[in-house]
Amino acid sequence: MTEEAPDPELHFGNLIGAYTDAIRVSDFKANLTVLFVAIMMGPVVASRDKFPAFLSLPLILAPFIIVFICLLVCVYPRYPRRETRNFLVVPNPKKSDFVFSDKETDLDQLKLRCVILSGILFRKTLFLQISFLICLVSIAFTFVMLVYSLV
Amino acid sequence: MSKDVASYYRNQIAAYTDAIRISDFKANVAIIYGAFTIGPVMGFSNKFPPFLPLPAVLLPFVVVFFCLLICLYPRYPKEGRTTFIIKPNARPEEFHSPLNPEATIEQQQTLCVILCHILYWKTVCLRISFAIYILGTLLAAGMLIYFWA
Repeated sequence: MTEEAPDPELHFGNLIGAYTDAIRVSDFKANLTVLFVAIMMGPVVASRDKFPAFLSLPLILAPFIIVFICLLVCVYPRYPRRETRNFLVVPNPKKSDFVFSDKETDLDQLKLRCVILSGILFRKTLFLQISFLICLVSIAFTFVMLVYSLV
Repeated sequence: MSKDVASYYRNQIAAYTDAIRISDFKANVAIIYGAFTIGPVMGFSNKFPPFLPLPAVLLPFVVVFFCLLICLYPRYPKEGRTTFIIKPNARPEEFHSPLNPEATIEQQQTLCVILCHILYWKTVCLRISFAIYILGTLLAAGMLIYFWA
């Protein structure tokens, strides 16, 4: 049984992989949720004459609009400036922009990438959770209304 | 021996992550399927038999959508946040590498517990949704046969 400490570069490499994976999954969920909400909007608007009087059309559309905004903010592409040295996103890159530099240790760069990805995942999760909560509350409200109309 | 233990947990984590990803994919496809089918169902609402009002037809869809959204709801439990930090303004000093192999194994065990719990709830919600879809489809098929015969 070895007593060596685990390789930090491997640990942070794995962590970056986990963050990237979680971000990708969040993006996929957001993309499909925006599609789901867009498809659902048609039948909901089409059956507006069957809604009770207190539910006006703008009131029905408000949750859709909020969810759309949150999901679009979630999928909005971001490349923070802190990482411009390692991952350039510029209109006219030059060969000289991509030069290997050993000034900073790899570990510092890996930690910086973890920080950036953590921030991105936090915002994506926040907006995705807001969207899902609005959808869940709207669905629960629809369920209550449907049961009420049946009894 | 330590490497064997580490690779065992790594494989377990990979298996859980894979199963969770597949569950998410199924839930995403199922929710889009439901959204596509609800339109034609509502379009034919005037052709339903009198004992089947529109709200009764829409109720299963609503339950399925609720279950699938619960299944897809993003979760990062607090127990796992010591290594997998999710903060808007995290600092590089907050990210530590494990000091010894025992700490790594403990982290991997914690991750297994978290992933197992997530997978359980995803599977429960997915099973409820699929059972409702299957029953609804069978009911629709039965009614179509009955009214055509």
